[in-house]
Amino acid sequence: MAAEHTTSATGVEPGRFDVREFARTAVGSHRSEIDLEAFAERPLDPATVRLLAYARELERSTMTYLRNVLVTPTHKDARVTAFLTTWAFEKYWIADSFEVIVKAHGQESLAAQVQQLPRLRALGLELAERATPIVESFRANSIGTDVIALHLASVTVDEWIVEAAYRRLAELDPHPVLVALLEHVATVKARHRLFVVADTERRLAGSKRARSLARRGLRRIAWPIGASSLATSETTFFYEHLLDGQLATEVDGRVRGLPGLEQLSLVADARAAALTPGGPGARLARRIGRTAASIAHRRRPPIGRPEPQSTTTPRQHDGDHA
Amino acid sequence: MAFDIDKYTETSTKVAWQDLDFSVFRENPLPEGTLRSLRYMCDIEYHTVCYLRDMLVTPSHKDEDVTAFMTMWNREEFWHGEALAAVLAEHDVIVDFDELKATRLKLGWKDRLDPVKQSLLGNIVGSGFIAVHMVWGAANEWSAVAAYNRLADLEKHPVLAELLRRIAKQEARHVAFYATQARERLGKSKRAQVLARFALKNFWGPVGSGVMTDDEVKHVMGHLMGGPEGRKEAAKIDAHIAKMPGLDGLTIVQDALDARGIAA
Repeated sequence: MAAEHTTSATGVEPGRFDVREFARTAVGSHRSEIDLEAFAERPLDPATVRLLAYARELERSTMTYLRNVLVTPTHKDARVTAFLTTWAFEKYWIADSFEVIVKAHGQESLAAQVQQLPRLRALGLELAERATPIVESFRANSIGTDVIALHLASVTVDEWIVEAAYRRLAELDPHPVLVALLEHVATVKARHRLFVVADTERRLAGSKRARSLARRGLRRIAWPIGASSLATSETTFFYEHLLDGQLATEVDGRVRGLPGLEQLSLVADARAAALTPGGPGARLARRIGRTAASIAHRRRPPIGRPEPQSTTTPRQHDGDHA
Repeated sequence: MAFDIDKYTETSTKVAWQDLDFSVFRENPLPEGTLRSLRYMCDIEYHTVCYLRDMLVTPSHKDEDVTAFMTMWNREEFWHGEALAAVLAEHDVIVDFDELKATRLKLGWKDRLDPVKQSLLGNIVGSGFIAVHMVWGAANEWSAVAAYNRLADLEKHPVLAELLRRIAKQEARHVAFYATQARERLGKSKRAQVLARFALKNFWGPVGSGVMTDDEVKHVMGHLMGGPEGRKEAAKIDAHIAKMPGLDGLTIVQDALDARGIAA
């Protein structure tokens, strides 16, 4: 009986996120809380259903995210991987809850619409997906554990974007069943943020190199995470409906509050890119630009002195971003 | 038999042990050799995320059923680690995340290059490589079921046996997934069969042999698969593998025991 307490009590510093407690109290399926019949009487707005179909794919993209993260030294950190294991589980069930609502509206075909890519982009994505674990593995393994800060920062930014988007979605379509679900989802995600925000801050504050990596790495990500493999039309729809300029600036303000990231405007940039008309050519050019930036980065000599391997000791913040 | 992924995800749960009285281990501690095997199993369960990584770099990461399974599987295995850690904690053997990290850090360049190798193979060989991963996973999960049941039989400790049977029951569901996937994929492709046969014959090693030291591997193999009864279990696993399309005659588990000089 006392077994769980025995292990949980080992090595958790006061005030530090208890990963074991998080894993123990993980939130699974939401199906029993969703009154699907209520949608028969009062359906959601078609735009809401379309956005839920998009959000379903975002929440379900954890394995693709883990694929690129686990080939780097991030997979060595058992505390981080324990977190990501439960994080992926909870996100799976959030995705599932959105999926059942989309299906209840008879809109199963939306999944194909969200995932449908023009042939050229699909080919580009396929090539990029094949190369990414290899490129990431070489690059990140030569960088070392500072890359963990980038990976956790990316989850932090993504959680902030999605949190703002879901809040807006509930305001736009205040259907009681949807609002109740999104409130529940918000509490699940609040715990994800507790871990990633604190760990991101600690890691960024402790290493100049981590800050530098995060600054460059975060700029290369197509926000929200998962958008790079989804239909551009749906990402545009997401920004049009859920993240207006003000909200994007608000989220960017939070990102800029992280050590070393004061100059970034990730969400405003992503929003502008999504709302800028441009065919596959323009997007391909952007992708080539991002790849070129990544190659340029790889060739750049290491910044500052090498950091020791340990990631558990917070170091003095040397204030390079001041 | 088809594998119902929805049913699996809906019923996937962390292994329960709160109802078991682990304080009995304080009065009657488990023998040293058993603790050593439990420690090995515990570490392997926690390191599942490293296997997940190797699977994800292949084209299988885009298959909805596969990713659904992997999400749940990875979590269930993590909880097997937690459950075994709780037993070990009653013996004052503390398994913490920092120590697991140290084990992973020790793996060095081999570990860093593994995903590259896997990814290159996956890309060159294509979808046939998923079949290799699936049959590899099946072999590992069959080994896990056998190992947990065998330890339960050997130790005959009512509380430990109950926990190990619960874990083995979950592992059996993992077997069902991997074996179904492997059977289907091998059945469809002669090339996948040749590839799987070659990979298993030349590169398969007992679960954990890439992560744990040879001494520990030998101890666990000798403890659980040694002697006539242990060998019988090993032969059963081999028989399961040999029933897969194109894999008849393979005896990888027994070969691994022979190679390590485990007494029959």
